[in-house]
Amino acid sequence: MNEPQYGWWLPPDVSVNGADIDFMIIAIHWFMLVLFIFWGGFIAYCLVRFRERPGHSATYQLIEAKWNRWLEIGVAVAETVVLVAFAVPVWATIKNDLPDPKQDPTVIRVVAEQFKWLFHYPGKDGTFGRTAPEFYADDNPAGLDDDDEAGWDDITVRGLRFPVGKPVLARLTSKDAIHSFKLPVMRVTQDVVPGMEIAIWFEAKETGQFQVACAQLCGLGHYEMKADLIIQSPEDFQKWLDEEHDALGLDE
Amino acid sequence: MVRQLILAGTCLALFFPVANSSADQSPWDPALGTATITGSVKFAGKKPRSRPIDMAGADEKCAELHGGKRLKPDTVIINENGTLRNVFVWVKSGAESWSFPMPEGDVLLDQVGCWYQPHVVGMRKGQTLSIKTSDPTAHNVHGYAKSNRPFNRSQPAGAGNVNIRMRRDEASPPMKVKCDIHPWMNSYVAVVDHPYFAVTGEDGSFTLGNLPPGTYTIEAWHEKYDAMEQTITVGDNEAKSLEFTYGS
Amino acid sequence: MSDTHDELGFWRTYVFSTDHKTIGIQYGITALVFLFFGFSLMMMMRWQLAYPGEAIPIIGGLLGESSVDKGAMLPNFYNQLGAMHGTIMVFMGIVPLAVGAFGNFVVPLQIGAVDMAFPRLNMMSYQAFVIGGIVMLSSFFLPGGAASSGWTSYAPLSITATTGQTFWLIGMIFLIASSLLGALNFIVTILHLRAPGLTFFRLPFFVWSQLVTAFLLLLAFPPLQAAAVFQLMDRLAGTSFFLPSGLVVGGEPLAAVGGGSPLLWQHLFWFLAHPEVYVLILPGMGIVAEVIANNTRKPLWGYRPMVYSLLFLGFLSFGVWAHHMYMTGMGTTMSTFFQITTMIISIPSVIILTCLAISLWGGAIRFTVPMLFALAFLPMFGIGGLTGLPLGLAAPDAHFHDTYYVIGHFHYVVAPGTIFAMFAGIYYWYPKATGRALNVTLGKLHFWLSLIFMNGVFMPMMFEGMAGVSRRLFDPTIYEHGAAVHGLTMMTSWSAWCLALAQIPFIINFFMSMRKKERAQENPWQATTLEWATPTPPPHGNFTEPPVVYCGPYEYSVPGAPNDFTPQHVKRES
Repeated sequence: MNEPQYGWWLPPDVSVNGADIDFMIIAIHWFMLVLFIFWGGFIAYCLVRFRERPGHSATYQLIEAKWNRWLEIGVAVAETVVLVAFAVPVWATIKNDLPDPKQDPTVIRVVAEQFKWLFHYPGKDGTFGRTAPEFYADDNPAGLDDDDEAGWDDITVRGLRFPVGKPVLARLTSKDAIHSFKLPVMRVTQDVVPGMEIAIWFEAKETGQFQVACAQLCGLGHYEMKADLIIQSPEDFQKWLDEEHDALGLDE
Repeated sequence: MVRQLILAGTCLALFFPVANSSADQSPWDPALGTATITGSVKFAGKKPRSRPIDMAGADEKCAELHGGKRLKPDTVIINENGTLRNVFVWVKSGAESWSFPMPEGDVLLDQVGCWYQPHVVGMRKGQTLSIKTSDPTAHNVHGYAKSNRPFNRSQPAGAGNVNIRMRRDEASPPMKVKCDIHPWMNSYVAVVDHPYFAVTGEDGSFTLGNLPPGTYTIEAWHEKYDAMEQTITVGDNEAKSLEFTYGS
Repeated sequence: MSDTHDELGFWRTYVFSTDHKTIGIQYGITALVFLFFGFSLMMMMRWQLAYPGEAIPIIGGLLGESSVDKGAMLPNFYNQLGAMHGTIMVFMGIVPLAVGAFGNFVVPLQIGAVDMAFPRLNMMSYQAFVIGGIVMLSSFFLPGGAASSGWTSYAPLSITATTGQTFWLIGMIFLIASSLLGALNFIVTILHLRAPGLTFFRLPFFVWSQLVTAFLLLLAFPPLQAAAVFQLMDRLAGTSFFLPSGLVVGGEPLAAVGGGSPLLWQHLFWFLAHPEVYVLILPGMGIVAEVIANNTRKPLWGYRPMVYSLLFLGFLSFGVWAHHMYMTGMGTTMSTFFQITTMIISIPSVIILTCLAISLWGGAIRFTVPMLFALAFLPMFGIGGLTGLPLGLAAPDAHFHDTYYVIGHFHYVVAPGTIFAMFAGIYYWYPKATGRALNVTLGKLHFWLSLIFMNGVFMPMMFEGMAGVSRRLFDPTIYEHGAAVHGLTMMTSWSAWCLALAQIPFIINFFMSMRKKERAQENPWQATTLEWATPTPPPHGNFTEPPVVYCGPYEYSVPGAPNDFTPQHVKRES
């Protein structure tokens, strides 16, 4: 495990998709900087050269500038390139390439509620128990149907864990308000909308201990709506699953 | 909408005379109270699954106070003798004709280790519910009152008690108090206009003492299994016992 | 207008006036008061962010126990402040100032009209604005306080929120009604009451910007009006427009019919709120264009492309709203569409800004106070616009969504952008409105301090956003990446308080200059547009004789002309 370093710039990136996003962010900011310096420089030059002073008067005749066309076309071309070459395909990968069962993804059901996250794993049998809103109760935050045996070994925890190097398929639901599932170090943000189940995927390339944040105002405890994010080696993850299974006390 | 407003208005108009009916009450005389009702709350159903609560993933400070041990919800606790804990038992009707002296002091609801102590508590109408935080983390106390005024107050670590005066009866059902920041935290507060109430503990028993002879409706209420009631008549110096059975 | 020359009493002259200039000034003063109030709310929030959990000096002791604990702010109060800051600044501050005040005061004068087309409607729209404002402010005194679900009021949070939200919705209904009445009035006025000879392409750019703004308001606000009524019904009448089935709030099932959609609210809201962004900025661009043309002493470069860009911006602003919603789970077809439209809409903004910059070329630039604000607008709005670029693309937005980067971005557009333009407008037209000139030294002091501290407030936010710190957090140091940027947070907070101090020269200047004995000239800036052809301050009915327009709006430094400016109403001898 490595200690995350946070500062005044992008947080560390431990996801496979993060590099593309970071590249776009950096590239666009360079583009912005160049444009801004050019523009600002031009304005500053004008302010000095054409300041009002004795012996200098304005010219009524407007200059025949062509370069502004090129500037505007340049901006349009740059934006088109960013859009076609990066923004659309990268986003399509992030949104649409959900892992299929052959890739053996770690499937996690994420339940957002005011003001904590709940992470629901299928347990030893690999099958989620039946869930429905009418089963939500104080002693059943995941809304599991007690009559469904598949749910008996399900693990419900308040911190997110998943193994490194394997896609994670997260199915997000909310009980009450709109929340937003944000993993800053994974460059993942997805609103969690009540009444919908939204599937997203991500994959870590490094282990470590980080945080899950809520990025959408969900009430007075919104600021406290954080959870641990622990990315483990597959072995450690399996060990943790076993411990959680024992903690359920199914044999009692 | 208009109909709802009219309905609400009518209810309020009807409710006020009832709520302020102290004029019809006579002061309580301790010499009257000689009868006793005791009993227990049995549980005969299938025990629901209860899953351990993982506080650590959400708030490390909560988990540390329990030494990393996982707690299970207080919702359904079945005692070793087959009785049900945390049932609120009270005299629902039969004690309206007296006005009782107010007990001294406030009723305390403490938050320790992101957990309410006690889980179910009864109190008198007009008493103050004093909600304390003993935790190094922020809470908010959200009272889902139905006849009293609902409240929702933030309580950062080290903050003073949140004091709420309960001005109305609120016992069927009792008021739910929740911390929204830690969704596993919940408790129930019942507000009654007389001193005849009890909460079942580790042996599932209850005692309603010092009752004047008469006929009473006794209600038992559990947060998951709701209310059930029985009518009982006790005479002078009589002690009767009563049994409620849930889950059958 | 038969009552033009009647003697009117105090109430009819100052309070229930139908004169566009009085209404404009009423709008202006009210909006400035609201702006300052909204700013004060934010200053309290900045205390909590800089010193989390510490008692707010002085003010903390005055607030109720539901808002503060031993003087330290509580999260529910923070959320109220956040929601009300946004609402007040946008709907009760900038829109009334940009459209209500400048539009009302300047537009009829610039087109040579005696008043707005519907003076009573104009009075009504001001009154609706005041009522809406009072309803909004009174909500702070409700049990549970004011609305706390953000200025966006996303359902279902807003529907389960306290009574403050009901007041917010009722207040919004009045504010929207006010804007709709105003917009209608502007459109009719500009289309019908132009002076003879004032063709569309002789209109000052400011009038164009107000015309486009009025269309945006007229077309974008009705969906929000409907949405506000829907949400009100959800709260009060048990409907479920925005409530899905199976909601469980506080561990208990919510008693609602269900079957509604929370995203419907977002679509309706942003369908207004994106055009609203252009409502906030276009009048500012209009003012800046006026001031730049006047102070460079030459015509605007690319007047026609600017007008076409303006129209295009207005039109396209209705097709980009969902770029606020990339993270709601929309499909890639939809997000691709909105990414394309968002990139396209950046082009006309670039054109307008470039034209304004090139307009400087060949001028004789006077560094008057309004010009300083107008010049600062260019790079400041430039930063605001450029930082919109990564937000307009879905993939970078996955990192920036709802972070301080967004806050920094739109504040650069509206604070050092629009508000600087507003200040430029105030300094520019103050002599016309009051007949007195503003003090230049105080004005320059105000400008430089504002410029420094505006950047001190908003530049750190960009880096906080880079670090991934979410907005609307009562205490961002809860998160590791939030604690790492606490230094930036402190910088923002201190800059904000200094920015408040920087407004003192302005406030002094504003009130003291009114009491000066010395009168301002009728045309102190040697400007060309029609508002300077009236007596100062303009009387009821505005013009001593109906003006006739002979030339374009910015005929400065015309070769062979007697002065370096040729007013629009002066017939050129050629």
